[in-house]
Amino acid sequence: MNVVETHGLTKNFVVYERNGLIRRTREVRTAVADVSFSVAAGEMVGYVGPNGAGKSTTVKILTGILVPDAGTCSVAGFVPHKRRLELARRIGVVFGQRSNLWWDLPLIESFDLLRHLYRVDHQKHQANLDECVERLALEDVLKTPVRQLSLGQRMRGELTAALLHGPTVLFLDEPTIGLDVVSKAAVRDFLADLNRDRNTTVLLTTHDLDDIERLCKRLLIIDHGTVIYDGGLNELRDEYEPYRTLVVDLVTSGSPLAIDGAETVKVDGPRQWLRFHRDRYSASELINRVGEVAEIRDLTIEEPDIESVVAKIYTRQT
Amino acid sequence: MSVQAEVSASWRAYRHLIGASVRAQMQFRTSLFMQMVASCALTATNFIEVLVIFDHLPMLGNWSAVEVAFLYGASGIGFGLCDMAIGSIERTGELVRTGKFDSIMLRPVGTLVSIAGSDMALRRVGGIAQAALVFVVASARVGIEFNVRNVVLIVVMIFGGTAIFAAVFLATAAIQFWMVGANEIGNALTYGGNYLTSFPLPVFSGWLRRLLAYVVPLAFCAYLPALAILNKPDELGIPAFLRYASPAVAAIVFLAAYGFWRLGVRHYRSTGS
Ligand SMILES: Nc1ncnc2c1ncn2[C@@H]1O[C@H](COP(=O)(O)OP(=O)(O)O)[C@@H](O)[C@H]1O
Ligand SMILES: [Mg+2]
Repeated sequence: MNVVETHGLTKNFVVYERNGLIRRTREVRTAVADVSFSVAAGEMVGYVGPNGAGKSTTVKILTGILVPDAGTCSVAGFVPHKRRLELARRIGVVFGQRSNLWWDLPLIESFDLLRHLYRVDHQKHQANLDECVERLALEDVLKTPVRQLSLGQRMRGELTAALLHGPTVLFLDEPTIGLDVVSKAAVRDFLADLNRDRNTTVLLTTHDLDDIERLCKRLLIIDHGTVIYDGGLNELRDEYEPYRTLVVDLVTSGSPLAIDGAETVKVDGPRQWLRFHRDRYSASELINRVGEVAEIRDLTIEEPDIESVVAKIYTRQT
Repeated sequence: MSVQAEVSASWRAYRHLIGASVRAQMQFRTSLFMQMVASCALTATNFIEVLVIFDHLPMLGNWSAVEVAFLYGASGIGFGLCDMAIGSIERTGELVRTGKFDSIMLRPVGTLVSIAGSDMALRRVGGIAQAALVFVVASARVGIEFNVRNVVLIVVMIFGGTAIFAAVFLATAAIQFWMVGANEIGNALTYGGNYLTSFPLPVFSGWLRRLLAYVVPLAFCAYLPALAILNKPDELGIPAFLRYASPAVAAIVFLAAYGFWRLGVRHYRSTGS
């Protein structure tokens, strides 16, 4: 069953540009253009694109904040902007740059207030809360007013707030933006567990591709409002960056290896880098070939990093 | 959900939100106390101003000072209650401009309830207390009998006034979905409206009278029901049954304003980030 479904989703913004004191020109900016995709229950999908691509606008339509200009969508069986209140109980939303917590209240009081607003049964609330507090290590800051939390602590608080009512779908818009490495890792681990243990469907918007690499098998890439890629992360690499690199540490330093179908791109003492096309060799085949001409002490395979792959897609588009 | 269940759920959500906002304000007790005193002082100056103006307006011969105080007190309580209950919807413009309205829309609670409950102005207690004091003293002196009819009419006057002011608040907040900077116009209508309702309608010129009686029906907040309570003749020829119409008028304008608000929410376009 598809938890999220969109067909031809389109959203325009009318913006006025002031030129001169009174005169202004009207301009229609298309933020999302004809976007169609679906997300099955339990999937964790990365929604990726450069700044201004239309990611947040899509999420706002799917959560009922914005009314689309054209196209249709459904989330958990509801048309978001028509059934916003019912939908709200079934989804969890975190916008990295906004807060759903009460600034002047201790964190725990925000959680308690949410329980009443969402009318969650006390036991279910407590169970969810205990789990989040433990996994996200929030115990020590529960009594701290939200305004005094660090960004990392607040983000973990936001995540908890989005999960207390046990949503079936989670929309995360740049949840790791501005976080330090430790907080980022904590959030990622938590999301991975959540998806695995509770089968929560997650649409994760980010421009941090490490998030995606760590969490998502499937990837939607959006640029200038249109989806330009929808598929697996590995397939994306295969398609756009088919070259991998074998790094071998040989027993002796020597001249560059000459192996048919592989290019020795760098030599540093006994260490050599061989770039090869994934269709030409599997890693083990190439290792065998190298082993025939030299004695190998150690080796690693470098996959192209996703960042450069995506950058390549963007540039190919324009 | 049935309408009744929906209303009771909204009411519960509102109560919890108010509770939270009160607890938040209690963190800054001293400042809250100072604000209450300031609010009280501010409304007191308004009252003195009304009396001074009254002293200089011969055309008010029909109205005694204590009757004007009665009017002032009733409209002040009605306005104060409204301001305290839903005054925080004034923040709409700012929430729209910054995109923070997003969070309001993500909750399983109506947007109006969510905003109205977000920041209850406890400081208004000061202003309400001042208006209530004036009202109690004026009622005692104005020579009305406290029979069932009059008590009912007084309650209806005050809560009808609250609801009509609420409609004005709501409509002016709704405008801000289109005109983000309209906050000042909003203030002019709400606070200015309260100021106007402190005076008997006849002091105003013809077009303003008609505006207040039939368009933005602030005359129903205090003046018209007060005529019924004080048993005064009306020198303007407004149909007598309208003296009792404030609950109906309140219901109509509130529903209209709410419809306008809903339209505004649909128009909300968030912000790019
Ligand atoms: N409320 C708005 N008003 C006007 N333009 C907007 C608004 N929201 C987004 N945009 C524009 O739409 C485009 C997509 O924005 P957004 O969805 O926020 O991108 P992303 O989240 O991918 O960075 C951008 O050009 C942005 O300037
Ligand atoms: Mg964004």
